[in-house]
Amino acid sequence: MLTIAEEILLLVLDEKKQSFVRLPNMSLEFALSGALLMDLAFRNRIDSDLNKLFVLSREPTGDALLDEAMQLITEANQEGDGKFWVQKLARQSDKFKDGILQRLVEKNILKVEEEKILWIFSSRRYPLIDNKERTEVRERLKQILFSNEIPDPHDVAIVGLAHACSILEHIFGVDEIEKVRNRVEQICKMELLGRAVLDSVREIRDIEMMTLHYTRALGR
Amino acid sequence: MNLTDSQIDNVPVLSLEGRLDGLTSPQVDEKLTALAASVEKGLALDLSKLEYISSAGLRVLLMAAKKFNAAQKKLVFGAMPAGIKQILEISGFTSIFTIYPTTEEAARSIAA
Repeated sequence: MLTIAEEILLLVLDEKKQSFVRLPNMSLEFALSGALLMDLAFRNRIDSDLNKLFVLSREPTGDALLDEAMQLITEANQEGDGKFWVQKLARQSDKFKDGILQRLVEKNILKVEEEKILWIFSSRRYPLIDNKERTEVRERLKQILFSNEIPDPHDVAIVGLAHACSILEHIFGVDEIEKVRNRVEQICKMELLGRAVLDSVREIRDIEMMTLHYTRALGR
Repeated sequence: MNLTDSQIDNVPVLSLEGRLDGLTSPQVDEKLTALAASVEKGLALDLSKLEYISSAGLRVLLMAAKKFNAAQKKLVFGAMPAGIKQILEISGFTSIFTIYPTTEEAARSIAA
C-alpha cells in the first residue's frame, strides 16, 4: 500500500505530459507536508486537535522520509497547530518531493528522465511504468465523492489534500466536481490536518490577491 | 480511557470515560471493531463522561461508523458533552453520526 504522500504525488502527475500538473502556488508543497504529517498521525506518532499538534511517540517508523519529518518536529522544540507544522515542513518540500519520487521509482511505478531543452535547460519527465496504483487511488476517490458512502480516514485525507491543491477538477472535470461540491466540502472538514493544508493554501492565495490588488492600484 | 459495557432495554451500551486521543484510540478501536461484529442490531455510545477528543479519536469514531454501516447495524451517540459536540460539528461529523440528547434515547432508537 502506498503512503498518503506517494498517492498525492501520483494524483498530481499528468500521464500524457509526463510532468506534474500546474497547481496554485505552494499548494503541492503544503499538500506534501500535510500528507507526511497525516502519514505520521496514521502511524500513531503524532496527534492534533484544533489548537495544537503534539508528539505521541518518537519511535522510528522504519520509513526514512517519515522519520526525517518527525525529526524536524521533535528537534524544532516548538509548539504549534496543524497549520504551523504544515507550513514549517513545506520549507523542506523539495527534499521531501524528491524522496517521494525516489520511492515511486523504487516501487517501479514511474521513472525519472532528464532531458535538455535547446541543449541548455534541464527538464525532468516522469513516465509511468505501472498505472495500477494511480488508477486505484482515482477509483477510490470517485467512489467516495460520487456516493454517500462513509469514507475511511485514509480516503478523507486524500480528498482533503487533493481538494487543497485543486487537483480534483483536473481529474474529474470542473462540471463533475461542481455537482459534488457539498460532498467535497463535507469530507474536507473531517480531517483537521487536511484543513490546515487548505487554510495554508488559501492564505497564500489571499496574499497573492492582495498583492495583485495593490499593484493594480499603484499602477493607476 | 475507561470503557464500560452495559445495557438499556436489552440494547448494548458502551460508555467512554476520559480522553479519546492517539494514546487511547487503539483500545477504543479494538473494542468498537469487536462490538460491530458481535452486537445484534446496534450499539449506543454513552459519551457523557468523554472529556476530550483529538483527530485520532475522530478517526476511530469514523472507522466505527463505517464498520457498523457495512454490517448493517446502527451506531448511535448519546449524552454528548457540549464541547465534544462542538468539535464534531466543526469537523462535519454531525452529518454522519446520529446523536441523541441522552443515552436512553440513543439506546431506544435501536430497540425500536
